[in-house]
Amino acid sequence: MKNNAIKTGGLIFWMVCLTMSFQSCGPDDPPIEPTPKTDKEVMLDFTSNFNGQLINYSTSTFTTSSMDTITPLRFKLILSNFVLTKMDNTVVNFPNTYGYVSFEENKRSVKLPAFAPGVFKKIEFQLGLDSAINHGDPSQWSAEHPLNTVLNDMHWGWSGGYKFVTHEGNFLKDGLNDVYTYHIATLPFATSISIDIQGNLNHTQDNAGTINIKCDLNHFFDGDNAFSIKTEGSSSHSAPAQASLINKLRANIKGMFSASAS
Amino acid sequence: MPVLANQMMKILGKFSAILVIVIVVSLIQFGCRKDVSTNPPKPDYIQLQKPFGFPAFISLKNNDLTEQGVMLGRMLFYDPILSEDSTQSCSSCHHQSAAFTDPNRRFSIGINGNVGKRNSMALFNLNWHVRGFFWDGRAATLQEQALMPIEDPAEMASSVPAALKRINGTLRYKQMFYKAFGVKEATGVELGKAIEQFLTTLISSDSKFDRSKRGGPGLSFDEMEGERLFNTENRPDFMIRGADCFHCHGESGLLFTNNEFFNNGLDDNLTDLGLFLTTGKVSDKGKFKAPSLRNLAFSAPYMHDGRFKTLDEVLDFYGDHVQLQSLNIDPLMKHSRPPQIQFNAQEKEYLKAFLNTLNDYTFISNPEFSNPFKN
Repeated sequence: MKNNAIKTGGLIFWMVCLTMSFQSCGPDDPPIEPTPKTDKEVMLDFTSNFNGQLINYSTSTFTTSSMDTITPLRFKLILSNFVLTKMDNTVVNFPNTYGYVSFEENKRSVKLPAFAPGVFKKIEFQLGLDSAINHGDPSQWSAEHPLNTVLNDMHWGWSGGYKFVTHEGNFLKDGLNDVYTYHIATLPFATSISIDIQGNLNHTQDNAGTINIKCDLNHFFDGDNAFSIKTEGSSSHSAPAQASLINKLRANIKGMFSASAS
Repeated sequence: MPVLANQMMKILGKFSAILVIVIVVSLIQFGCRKDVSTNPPKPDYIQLQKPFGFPAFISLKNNDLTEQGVMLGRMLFYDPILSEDSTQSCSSCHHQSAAFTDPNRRFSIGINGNVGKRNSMALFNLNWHVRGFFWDGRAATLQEQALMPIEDPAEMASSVPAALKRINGTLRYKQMFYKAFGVKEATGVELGKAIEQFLTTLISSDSKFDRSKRGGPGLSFDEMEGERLFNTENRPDFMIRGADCFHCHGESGLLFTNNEFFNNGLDDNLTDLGLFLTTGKVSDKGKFKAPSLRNLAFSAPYMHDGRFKTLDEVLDFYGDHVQLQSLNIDPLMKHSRPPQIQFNAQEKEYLKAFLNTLNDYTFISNPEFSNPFKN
């Protein structure tokens, strides 16, 4: 009887050990499925310069072709209606994509949602918004949305819509510091921009690519029209009566941008 | 040999039996025991309701709102335990009746009788402040902001470790911190989070102006004229009269501030360098945060140093006394160039009438924000 008890105890011991060793084995790892390829987003990276020179907003000083000595403080854009054009001239539209660029705050990225591969030669966008969005409820946007009014300070109040372009700074007038403020807004003054992409954007599912958009602030005052702050006006809030001034600036703005792909 | 083998089997068998018993008993123990420190009670999460017309809420970083966290923060806000001698709480300089400013006091007074250097800021709608707290933006988040007065010699004159020692020595707070954050001992992280949660709930959105936007009674003629002036640039070249307030105090939905920092031309000689003290940038000298224009009836005096006792004094400044050569004066003050705006008496009355539509009497009497120790 004693012998049986001993044998039974030994048997139990080894059964427990065997059971625990089975428990420590997990299920086999599932086989690794190859990641399916999907369309990718593309980033637009905006940078600014003044005739090729780096701009430190609030401190850099430049002289325009009209001999205005300026210190840019703020330069901001609201963008919409992005379009990419392929080599065969077919287009990809991004109707519900918006961008807010604030150069002095270094907020410079706009994301185009995922789209199919292709080689693209041109990018277009609007500095401005369509009527429904411009005069819609500004509180509808999520916290990270470019049109959220906490994120950007481009909204003009309950009924005024957004400023599309803001350019503010200091300039010297008769040796004293004066200020300039250009606010381009309202639907008649939305501005369409079209830029050839140098080197084309080769957008693939392995490599989405980035479009680098440079903005030469010198063109704001010296594009199609040489613009003098001192003589033509140091501010605008886009009243209809200011159409002449605003349209001069808009013509200059059209030539501010260049694009390349990486 | 067989005798030896038999003896070994005996020992092995006994050992096996004992081992099996130990293993079984241990499994039963581990299976049934609830470790209090790894399984704190689940808190009750809160979803704040976005007020009509306001921008979307901004999520707090790693600090979801809970009933337990908000209540804890509220108690800490009103409890003088945070100060070195336990005589002063946050509410000592932030009275609910004054929209959480220090009523009619230019500078607040700390526990040692030290006088502060800046006017106590109103506390409401703080969730939408994304560019820093305090007049000079020195706190990036509310969590940081909540702890700074504890260590300020001119305010609570304590330290966060000392305050935590007092808090963790209180059974009630130990229990509340455990329920809110699952910690047995609070650190500065949980202390900041609790106060942040309470401050986030301080939402002011029930003024006459808000109600008019929600379809309630409209504004009077005087109030509407004030609103028009408020939202209009002054353009004498186009014969347009405006107060141009909206550029700094109106462009972020109904917040009545864009929470940016500006030099509004208060002083020719800058005695307080403002934002520069935080950023070190020369171009930030003299800049201060633009406060919300809600609740002005309760939050006098005005400006970062409380220099103006009344709205009339504020309007006199903006109409006639902007210091145009102040260093870094903002371009948006351009309309103050000579001859300056020069409000007439009627325009001042219109503007005051409109500003008074932004006073929220519900907010200053809401029991959910009041002193819980008095209930």
